[in-house]
Amino acid sequence: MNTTIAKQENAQPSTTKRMEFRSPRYEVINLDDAYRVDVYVPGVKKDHTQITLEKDTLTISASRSDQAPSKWETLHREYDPVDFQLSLNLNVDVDADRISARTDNGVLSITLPIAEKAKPKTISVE
Amino acid sequence: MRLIKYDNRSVNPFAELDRLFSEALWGGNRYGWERMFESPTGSLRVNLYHDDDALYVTSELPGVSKKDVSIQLENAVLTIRGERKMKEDKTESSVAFERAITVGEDINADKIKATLEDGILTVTLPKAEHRKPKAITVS
Repeated sequence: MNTTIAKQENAQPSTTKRMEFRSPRYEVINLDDAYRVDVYVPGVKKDHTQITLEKDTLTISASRSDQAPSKWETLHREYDPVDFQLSLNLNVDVDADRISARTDNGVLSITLPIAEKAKPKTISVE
Repeated sequence: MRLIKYDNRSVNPFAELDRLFSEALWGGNRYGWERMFESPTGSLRVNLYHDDDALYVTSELPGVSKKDVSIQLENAVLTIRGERKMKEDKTESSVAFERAITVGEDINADKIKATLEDGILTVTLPKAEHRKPKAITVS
């Protein structure tokens, strides 16, 4: 019971909260039979990311946990510690069941294995 | 073959505007790592905070290892230097960054602390004892 009350006190109005995000920088690395997408998500802890693949849209949302303590007073601000959201339209068939992801030092690496049917086939001449 | 069909930035209604501005100002459409470090005043974006005890400098450094960051305080100028190393098969490349911040407050230089966690660098600069607010009790 106590926890519910505490949560409500801290909660911000849901509408403003939802609008506050930015799209993270990312890089795509071509591997032999997979693609790796490195998404830069500073301030995001390991289990605070959500990756979904729907049809050919890969959506990544990550919530930050590096908000400054409330007793810190801001003197100067050059970046906004807001949550990240990114949605990518994939051009390649990927094997959804074998997608893996890990976070390290604020970088989320998602490995997208290429689906069997999308792999190039070598046909040998008999 | 390209993995991404096109950059779908529809989540941000101002993305196209941002892109046009950045093209006009920085002369190119750069989504890569180098843009991460750009700021109006230097090559690394920082936030500055303070409370009664200390000044705090935070910065986003995803993918940078602890050993590649160095922090120095000299003549009231705090300098954060470092590089991000990228390893792709056999090729290695690195992006260097640097930022200097003038500290206009007396700092206890011996007690400066820095942490790098989840890609966030936090430098804590404790205020010198005589600069901290003191409560004086009336006797």
